[in-house]
Amino acid sequence: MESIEQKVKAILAGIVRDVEGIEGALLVDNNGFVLSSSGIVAQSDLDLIGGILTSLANVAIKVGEELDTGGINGLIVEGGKKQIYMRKIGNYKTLIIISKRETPIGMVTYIARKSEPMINEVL
Amino acid sequence: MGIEEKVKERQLKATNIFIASFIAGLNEMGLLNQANVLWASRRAGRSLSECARIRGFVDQAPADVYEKAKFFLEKLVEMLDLAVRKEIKLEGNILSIKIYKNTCKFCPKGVGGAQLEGTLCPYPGMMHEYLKKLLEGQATVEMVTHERAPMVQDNEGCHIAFKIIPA
Repeated sequence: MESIEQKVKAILAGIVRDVEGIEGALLVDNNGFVLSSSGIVAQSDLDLIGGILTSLANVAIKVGEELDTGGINGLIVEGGKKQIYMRKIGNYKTLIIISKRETPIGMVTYIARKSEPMINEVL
Repeated sequence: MGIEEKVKERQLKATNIFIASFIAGLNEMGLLNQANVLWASRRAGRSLSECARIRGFVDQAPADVYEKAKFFLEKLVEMLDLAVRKEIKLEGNILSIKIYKNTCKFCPKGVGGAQLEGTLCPYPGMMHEYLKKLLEGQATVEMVTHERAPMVQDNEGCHIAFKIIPA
C-alpha cells in the first residue's frame, strides 16, 4: 500500500511529466520544510529553497491582505532562464513548480489547479 | 499569560524579549519560518564557535570527543543563558538537550508571542553549526531530525539532538 508521501510524490511526478518544460515540483509545509519533491529540484538544497519560497508566498499573502486583493491564489517569479510558480494548497501547504522560461505559464497554472484537489485528497 | 508573569516565570531580561519578539515579528510578516530560521541561525552558530575559542573553551575541553561535544554545548547554553530549566545528556553517540516547557528565554512563541502552528526555534541550527565548527577535524555532527523537523516538542518541553561521529 502506498504511503501518503509516495502518493504526493506520484502527483508531483505527474506534474513534471505532463507539461513539457516543467523541471521540478515541490510540496512545502508552512514551516518551510519540503514534504515531497520531483524532478531536478531533488538535487538542490531543498530546505533552503523550501524555506525561502514559502516565505515569499507568505509575504505575498500579507501584501494581499494589506491591499485587499481577495486572497492570493498564486505567485509567479520570472527569471531569465526559469520561472517559479507557487500556489497555496489549503492553509498550510505550498505547491512550487519550477519550469523553463518559455513554458506557457497558463499550462503551469492549469496543472497546478488540476493537481490541488488531488493533493488535498491525499493529505 | 501576560508579559509580567512570563518575565517572572522565565527570568527574562529585556534582551530575551527583544530577540524573541523580533523573530515573532518577522514571522508575522511572512518572512520567517522554521526552515529559514534553521539556515539563518547557522551563521550565529559559526560566530558563537569563535566566541567559545576566544573564551578559552577549546583549551579547557576534555580529550574524549563525546565529552568534548557535551562540554561545548554546556558552555553555549551557559554563555547565552538559554533557559531556566534544561538538561544536556550524552547517551552513546547521541548528544541531546531538553528545554523544559515554559522555561525557554528566547522562544518566539512562548516569549515573543508568535502565532503559528509549528516552531520557529533558532537553537537547532545554531547548536549544530557551533558544534560542527568546534569539532571540525575530530568528529562530524549530524542533526537528528523528525520528518525533517529539527526538534520534537512534547508535554515536557522541546528536545534537540545530535549524532556525534568521530573522524
